Amino acid sequence: MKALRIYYDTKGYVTWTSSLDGPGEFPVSASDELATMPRGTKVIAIDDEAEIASFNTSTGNRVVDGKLVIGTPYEPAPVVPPRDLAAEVDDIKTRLSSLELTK
Amino acid sequence: MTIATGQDIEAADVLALTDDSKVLSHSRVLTAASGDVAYTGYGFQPKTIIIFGTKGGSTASWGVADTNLAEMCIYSYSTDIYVANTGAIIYIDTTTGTVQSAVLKTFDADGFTLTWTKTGTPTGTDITFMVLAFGRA
Repeated sequence: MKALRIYYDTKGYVTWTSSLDGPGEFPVSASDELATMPRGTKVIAIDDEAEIASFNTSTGNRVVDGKLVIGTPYEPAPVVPPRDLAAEVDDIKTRLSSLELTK
Repeated sequence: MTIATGQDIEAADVLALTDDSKVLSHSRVLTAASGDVAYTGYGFQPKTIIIFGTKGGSTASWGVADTNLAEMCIYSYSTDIYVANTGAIIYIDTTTGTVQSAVLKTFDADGFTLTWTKTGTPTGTDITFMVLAFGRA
């Protein structure tokens, strides 16, 4: 089971998250967690895995009228092509073969 | 089991105090916001844990924590570079200034809780980490 608690301030900005990754229940209740946070902090809980995934991969998430509003998805990471070691070796060989040795 | 003060103990007595163990794998989205994550499914309250994590490439972290939540790790962010860190149990340094790291917050009845901190805007392949937990069922 995956579940996510989203804590937000009086303006709807997300200030903290608490999530569960595994079976069972959260080890700490939401009210106990709220007791450690600034006055005015509120919490919503979601357990839809797709929504949790969207939350975790987006920036600028807000809570408006008690509802989560997903922000902008992060740019996907650039794909680094795998190194072509054989080509690099061939290149080094070519460079070496063109060197003139001087004494 | 209780070991009295001054009592002679044998290896078996020590093992009896941590006579259960479990390995589980978890993941962490690199872009996820800072916060607590409770990892469950261990079947007992761990007393110590060992965590190995990576996001692939040459980025990896190896961390340990004891019963008092003292923790440390060694992490790598590039080939043949290893850094000791006494302030986290897992530290995934993706590029300069972009990190997902965690400290052990609590040992819980069915697992443990990590407090993750995101620094910068790390992106890329999510973190996979394996946990070996020792405890007593």
